[in-house]
Amino acid sequence: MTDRRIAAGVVVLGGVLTGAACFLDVLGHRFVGEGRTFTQVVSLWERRTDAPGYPVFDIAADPGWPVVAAAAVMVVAALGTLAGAKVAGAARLATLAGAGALAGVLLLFVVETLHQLQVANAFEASSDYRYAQTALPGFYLLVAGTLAGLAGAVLAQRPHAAEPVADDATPPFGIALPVERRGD
Amino acid sequence: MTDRRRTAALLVVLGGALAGAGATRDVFVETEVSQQIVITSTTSLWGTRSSAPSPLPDGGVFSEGLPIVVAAVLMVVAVVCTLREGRTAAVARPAVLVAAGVFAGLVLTFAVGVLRRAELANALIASSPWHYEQHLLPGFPLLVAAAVAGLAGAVLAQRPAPEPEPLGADDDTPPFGIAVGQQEAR
Repeated sequence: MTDRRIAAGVVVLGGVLTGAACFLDVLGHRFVGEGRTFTQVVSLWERRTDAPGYPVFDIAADPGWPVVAAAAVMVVAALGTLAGAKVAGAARLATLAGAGALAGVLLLFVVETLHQLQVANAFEASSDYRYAQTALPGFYLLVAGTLAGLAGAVLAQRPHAAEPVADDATPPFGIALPVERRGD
Repeated sequence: MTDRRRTAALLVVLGGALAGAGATRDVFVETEVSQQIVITSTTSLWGTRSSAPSPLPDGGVFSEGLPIVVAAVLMVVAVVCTLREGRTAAVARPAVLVAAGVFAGLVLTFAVGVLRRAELANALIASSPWHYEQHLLPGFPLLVAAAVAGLAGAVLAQRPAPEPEPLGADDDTPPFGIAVGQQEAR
């Protein structure tokens, strides 16, 4: 039981870190050129810029809802692994699938961010503008939450039923006596 | 090998095939109309083709092709490994579930992004003379179906391989008798 509690605890920690990331900014963009400097801050839900009238830099996926959905499945399923054997079996699978989905959402966000950086660098090379991208605390929390969720989900794959105590005392020619199962 | 494991593998392979089909087709098309000008932009997982420079940001941010294809390939490779016996299958079973989860997460985020793009584009041009429309193309439902099939197959693949029948099964012991422990192979 202790191992399963630890696994569930690690997954819940991943969920908490991910939840915290939802309330923080994840990326910052800074543009400098033609005597002006303006910034754009990106969270999982929106983009804010101090450049009046400047169009949205990109309208790529806002991963807020996919992050919340995957993290919710992961955490609820991890808590389910602490329930009875029948529920725990399905919950272990759902924990792994949820953690995988959260990793997929993060992966796509990272790929889009890198691609965005590539496009901005190409623009920078052909203009007088200078561009810088910064990862903000929400990004690191999202990465940490995803890694913790994956680690906990893998830990949670330990079978629910305890293994019977090894019957070392019975010699090979003897009659095996019923052994007690180690309870949770 | 049980039929269930084969069915699971077939479902995941079907998911991989659907993902491959979705990755080679266009996912959505956008039409922007302003008086005499009509701009049509068609987007796949690999980029956007436009009939003219668009007033909207380039759809090139949709660079999801590589991670989606890689996740689908990993999912299929892992499920093929579940058809083997022993430790390979034991490791492959959780691996196929993680890969299917990652694939589903990628597709989910991409799908939400596509739908959100239409919402944002309409908001962006609300005060302009432009009119915007978005239509989903076959690549979109193919990818969603691939994610569903992959996840279903991955869950089905979690059933472990049946234990082999022990040699010299003790059929002769009556229900009220005492089963004598089998001699260990030395």
